[in-house]
Amino acid sequence: MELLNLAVKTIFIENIVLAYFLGMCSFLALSKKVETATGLGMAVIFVLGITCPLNWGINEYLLNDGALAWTGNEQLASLDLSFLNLILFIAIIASIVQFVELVLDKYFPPLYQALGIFLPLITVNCAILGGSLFMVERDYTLPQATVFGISAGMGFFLAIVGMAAIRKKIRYSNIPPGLKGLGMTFIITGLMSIGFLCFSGIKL
Amino acid sequence: MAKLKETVLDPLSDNNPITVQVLGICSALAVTIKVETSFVMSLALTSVLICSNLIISLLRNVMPSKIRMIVEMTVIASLVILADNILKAYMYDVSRQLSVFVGLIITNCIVMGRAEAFALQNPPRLSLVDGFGNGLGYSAILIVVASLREVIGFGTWYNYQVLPLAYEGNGLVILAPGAFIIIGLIIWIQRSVIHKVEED
Amino acid sequence: MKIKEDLRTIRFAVIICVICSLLISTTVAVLKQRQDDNVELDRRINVLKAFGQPIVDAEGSPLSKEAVDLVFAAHIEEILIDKETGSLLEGLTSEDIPRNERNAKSSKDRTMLPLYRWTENGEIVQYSFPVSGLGLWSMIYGYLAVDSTLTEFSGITFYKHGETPGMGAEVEKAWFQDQFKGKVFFTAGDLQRFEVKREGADSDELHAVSGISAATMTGNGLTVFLNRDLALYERYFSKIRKTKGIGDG
Repeated sequence: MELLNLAVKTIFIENIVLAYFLGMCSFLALSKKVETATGLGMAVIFVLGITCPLNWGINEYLLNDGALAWTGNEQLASLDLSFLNLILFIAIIASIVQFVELVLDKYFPPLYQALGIFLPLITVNCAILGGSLFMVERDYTLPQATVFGISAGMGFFLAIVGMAAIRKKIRYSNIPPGLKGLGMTFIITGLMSIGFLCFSGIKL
Repeated sequence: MAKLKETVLDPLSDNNPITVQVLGICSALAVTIKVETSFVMSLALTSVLICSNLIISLLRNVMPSKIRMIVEMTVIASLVILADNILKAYMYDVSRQLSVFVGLIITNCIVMGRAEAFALQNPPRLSLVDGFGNGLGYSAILIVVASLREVIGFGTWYNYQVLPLAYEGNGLVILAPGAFIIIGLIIWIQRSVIHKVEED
Repeated sequence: MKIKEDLRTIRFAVIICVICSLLISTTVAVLKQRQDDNVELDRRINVLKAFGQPIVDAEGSPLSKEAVDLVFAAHIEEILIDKETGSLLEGLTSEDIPRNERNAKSSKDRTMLPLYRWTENGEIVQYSFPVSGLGLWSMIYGYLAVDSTLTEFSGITFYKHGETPGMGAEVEKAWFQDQFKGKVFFTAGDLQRFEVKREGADSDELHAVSGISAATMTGNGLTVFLNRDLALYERYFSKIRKTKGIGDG
């Protein structure tokens, strides 16, 4: 039940794009078509769902103050490597993305076809790194981290697909020239974000 | 000399990293609630950008192309950790307010984008200047957005009261939607001035 | 040719790794002391704030490390309490807190609970302890101070959080924190449930303060973790009341 609450909270109330501004670059660049938006959204769910629990493990058993206690070595146990978390997280993300790409290519060609070109882009999507950093900041447990990862991805999916659908609708609208494209996208995002604000009234 | 000048001035308006190149939006939105935090963030980003451009430009001829991306990532991540630690040591209060967003400079597309698009093809001196120019362009937008949000939202600027105390503050500009809409409007104004039209 | 190329790549990667790691570890090692000092000073200043002490000097600039240490040495005692039994851990200081609990994010992760006593001329005047828990979307950290009769709050401060500025972030403002002073958490021999109301609690309500408008979730979070942490310290407080004969307990 608590996990379900967390999922609802992460998808709607604290939407990673609309409330935290994470993953904006790809959100803006790839929301022109619904198909590409869907592809990218799926890829983000997938990668966040894997990297969050994985980075949780790294942080818990390798980096945190005293995390190396399981080795039984006094000196190792007293190490605090948490300053390395940024570099290690990004390395993990980059290698997972690469790895997922290889596995999909070999065993699930149709899925690879669908996600294909979006996977490499994800490495530099700040939603992924942000997901891992927030998870550390908020001190989640393993199940919570997993649920958080997947639902943050779903939040991204929801936002980008919604955005793509709206942009498709307004393609032939009469927008002032300077506002066309990026400017209008921002304002629509703002309006969507106002819409999502309403969810914060939900009592969990 | 003309090239140097152009490299600095171009990103300030005509080729602004945020409003024209659409890079590094996340942090531009997240830290702009107060001018003070945006200022420190701009400083951190500009320093990281200058250093990363310089280093990557120096390495550009010896760097094996196969591991190009990961090397760039490593260099940038190291620089960001440096910046993060320096902030924690010398500007503790501000670093607390910026929380995870300093870390997110790593995935800030400006740094990676300029490394890929400029530093890999240009000599160190020019790359350094390019980093500086783009940093300035980024900072300019950040400060403008932050000024608007802080003045409208709190009635203060850089923590100084500028509007009468009776001013209640507008909650909307402090929240996410306000940031989106303000940036949208700034883009509109800026693109109308420089006559750049995007065909959808 | 191919092998030579690969070797070159690997050599390059190794060199970059070594340089970067050296650079980072040196900076961290050099700056570590300064960072820790900052954190420690911040913690001490916040304890002072919870006790209602001034945290700026006569000229209005923040207290220096020396000044804070001086006040600490003169008035504040740090003691540790066993979480399970609530008994005082005699002779242990903050140095004895197990490593993995030093940076504990909430009382859930502690087995020893730190407690600060403010003494004037050898008399204990106030107690203060850390409180922390989830607000709307971040951990909120603070210190709660209670008076010597262990029935009323004498002050509270929140020093770290990531709540929405202008809304949840109002927890760090004086108007919000001032409300806690004089609220009663223990009457009629029992710990009372304390509540941060949705909005607009009457100022004469004994067990509630008014929440922040448009930040109900933050208030709910506070209600949960304040009550949780109070209940933990109550195990120790009840012993003190018994020996001192305060209250009906």
